[in-house]
Amino acid sequence: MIVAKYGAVWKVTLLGSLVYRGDVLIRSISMGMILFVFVQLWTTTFTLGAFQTIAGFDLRDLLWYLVITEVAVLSAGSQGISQRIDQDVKSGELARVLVRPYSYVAYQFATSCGETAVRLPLQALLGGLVVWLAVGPPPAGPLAFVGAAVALALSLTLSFLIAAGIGLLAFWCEETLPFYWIYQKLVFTLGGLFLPLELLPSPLADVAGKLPFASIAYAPGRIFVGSSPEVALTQLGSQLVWVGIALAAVTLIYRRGVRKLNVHGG
Amino acid sequence: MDESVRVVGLRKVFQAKQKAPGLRGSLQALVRPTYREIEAVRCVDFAVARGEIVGFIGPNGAGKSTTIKMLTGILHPSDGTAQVLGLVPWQQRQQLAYRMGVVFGQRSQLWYHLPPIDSFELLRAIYELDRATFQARLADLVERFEIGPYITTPVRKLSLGERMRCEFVGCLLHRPEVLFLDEPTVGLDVVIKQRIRALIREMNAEDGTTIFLTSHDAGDVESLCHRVIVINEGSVIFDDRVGALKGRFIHARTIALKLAEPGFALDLPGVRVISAADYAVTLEVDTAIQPIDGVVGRIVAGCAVADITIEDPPMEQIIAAIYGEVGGG
Amino acid sequence: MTAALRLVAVYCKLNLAAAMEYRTSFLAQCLGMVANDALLFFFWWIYFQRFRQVGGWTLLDLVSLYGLVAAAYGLATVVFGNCNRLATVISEGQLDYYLTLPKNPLLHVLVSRSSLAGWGDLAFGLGALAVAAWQGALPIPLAVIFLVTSTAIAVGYTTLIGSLAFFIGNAEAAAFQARDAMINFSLYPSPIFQGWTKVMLLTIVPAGFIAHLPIELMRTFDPWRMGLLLAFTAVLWAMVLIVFRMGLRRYESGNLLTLRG
Repeated sequence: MIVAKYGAVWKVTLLGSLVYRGDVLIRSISMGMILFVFVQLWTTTFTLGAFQTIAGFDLRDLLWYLVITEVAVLSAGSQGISQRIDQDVKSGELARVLVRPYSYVAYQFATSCGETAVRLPLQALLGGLVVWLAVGPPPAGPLAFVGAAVALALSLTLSFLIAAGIGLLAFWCEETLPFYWIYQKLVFTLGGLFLPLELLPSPLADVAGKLPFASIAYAPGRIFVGSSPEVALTQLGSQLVWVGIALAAVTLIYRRGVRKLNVHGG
Repeated sequence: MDESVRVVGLRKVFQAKQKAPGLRGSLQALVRPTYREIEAVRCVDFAVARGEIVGFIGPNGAGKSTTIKMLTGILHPSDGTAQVLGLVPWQQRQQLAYRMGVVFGQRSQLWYHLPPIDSFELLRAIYELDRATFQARLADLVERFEIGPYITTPVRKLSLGERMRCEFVGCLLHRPEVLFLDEPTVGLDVVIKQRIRALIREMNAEDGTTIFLTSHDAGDVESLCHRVIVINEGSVIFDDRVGALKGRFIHARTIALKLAEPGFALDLPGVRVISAADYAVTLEVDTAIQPIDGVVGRIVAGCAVADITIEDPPMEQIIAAIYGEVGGG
Repeated sequence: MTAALRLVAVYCKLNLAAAMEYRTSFLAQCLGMVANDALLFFFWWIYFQRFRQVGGWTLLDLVSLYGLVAAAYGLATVVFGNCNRLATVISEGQLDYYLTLPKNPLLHVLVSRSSLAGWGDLAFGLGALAVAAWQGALPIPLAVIFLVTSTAIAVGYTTLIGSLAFFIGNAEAAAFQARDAMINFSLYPSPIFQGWTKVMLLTIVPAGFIAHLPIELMRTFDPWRMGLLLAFTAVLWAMVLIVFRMGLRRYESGNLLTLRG
């Protein structure tokens, strides 16, 4: 019953996203462009330094790693989610939703899943194409594909929860966008979006590995380009832990926020 | 001849892209777009004398705003010419802009988060007014529009009426010779409306400002305009005194009779009895079918009349007829 | 000319005053953007920790590059804040207001909006440029000239793409994509781009002129390449003025929008 309800929300959003084909297409073009620049950067770096591998990654591994991390981050649509929730809090829309027979956060989650379902395949296709043309097919075996898919799902869930948490901060803060920017850039660097954590200087790499940002980009990327089953399981495990923590945190923030709403009479 | 505005054969055609529905239609429109021509203004001629207040009315989509946009230099016409203060608006736009003012009732030129005085200072820079002239003019307008208490309060904290008065002051700072007002009183309450109208009349009388206004409001037309131009489907269909409007657009007149003795009978096409008592009868006459004087003649000849009143239709009804029925037909 | 500068100055003053009405927002966006830029730059710190240089470019060159691009983009969005919104302004008929006023409508529309976050970009950029200058990697008079040309190219390019709205109606997506490409390509060292990519960066996505060429010229000055940069800026702006002028003749003041609806 519950599943059917949010399933319907998911479907409506999916259809809605298809209507905005232009927007979806544009985002995929950005994806191609970013990967194109990365291809140039890393091809040059490998050629100039005459490297075979860097921190255990050869050129092909590294570029396919970047395809997965970019897909994980860009298809999540985190900025849209957090700003939508921010606006709902500020405009009082959230207060109105409280009387309806569904959970606000679950509703937003279903919506974002619908949007991601449209973006993800297109971006993966376009990003993959750019890298395939440069270095050939992905190094992943079937198991890596499955593992990466699971990791990607966990990553997208975590992305949603963090974005929602930032948006809900609007209960207390006038501006939440700056928090989002900082979070986003932390994913870029410490989360492994731009480069695998193995390339970070050693103390930093260890710290970054223990932060939630690594569960968003690094985990699916690392699993995709081949790792031992132990490493993969460790990654998936820490993703699960972070999803749990984030879920608890969002629930807490939401409850506190709603209580504040009641005190002030909406 | 002292004219502020002269328009000859003005015409504006928009190209609207046609698109079949669906993805296939979108692709087709991308590769080989087809266009449909929409003639917003057909062939408009009129003139406005210096110092005149002219109402420009017609149903939505009749070409009102397109015409005003050509007269203010926003749009280039497809055909025809126009002169405002002797200048061709779309060719000498900047020169004209120094001498004209525009108020769009729905759109504000005041900065929402700042007090009006800051916006006025900006307008001073835009119109390149020297400080002394600006301050003298501002002081005069502040007094006339009684906005003294508000000019240092952020606009977001002002009521609509207060804001509207500040809006007017903003567009009068540079002493425009001709003023285009688009729905100047829309959304205001009755008291403020009358206030704004009084100020517009005063401005017109004292500065000799030519005013060209559009409005849905009968009160605006009745209490402000010397003359009315009605436009429909891109063409001027009426251009005359306000008083002549009713003859042109209202065909139903009401006649109220008081009888000296009971016994009223009249059977004429186009005449309908609305109410009839022994000594009082009310009739509605469709003047398109039956001229009013003929009806009165027949009544007076046929029965003993103690009193007869021919009621004027209210301006609301006339304006409603123009905006409604003309547009429908 | 002085009247135009006065207009720009008055708008800057008003925009700042409006920002001050919401001081917390302003500060949050400003500081947030500084942090944002700094974290983005962090990638290059990591990169050069490992590789020292790429095609002769060092970390210090990247400091200059980020400084120039951030400061120029900051200036563009603070002073000419509407350049990113031009397509929307045109297609929604918001140009009407500027056309009824006695000032150049293009200049007027560009300066009438200011980005709060842009101040953060500007602050970060000037900070980075100061670091580069302090390290001796920055001939200051040249840097000032490049700040002007890079800002001019950034504003000119986004304006040119936005002006397409006069001709194709909905140009928002194209404008967004063009700006995104311009910024993205600007933030990488030039030696990684070869062949056709290089040609593209000196033509349809002018990141080469905004970012790469100035940094190379500050390392080794070459009057010919300097002339090329200045000529490109001039040609770009000539195109902007011509296209905008042609566009005004076709401007529909949002009428098609209402007709469609």
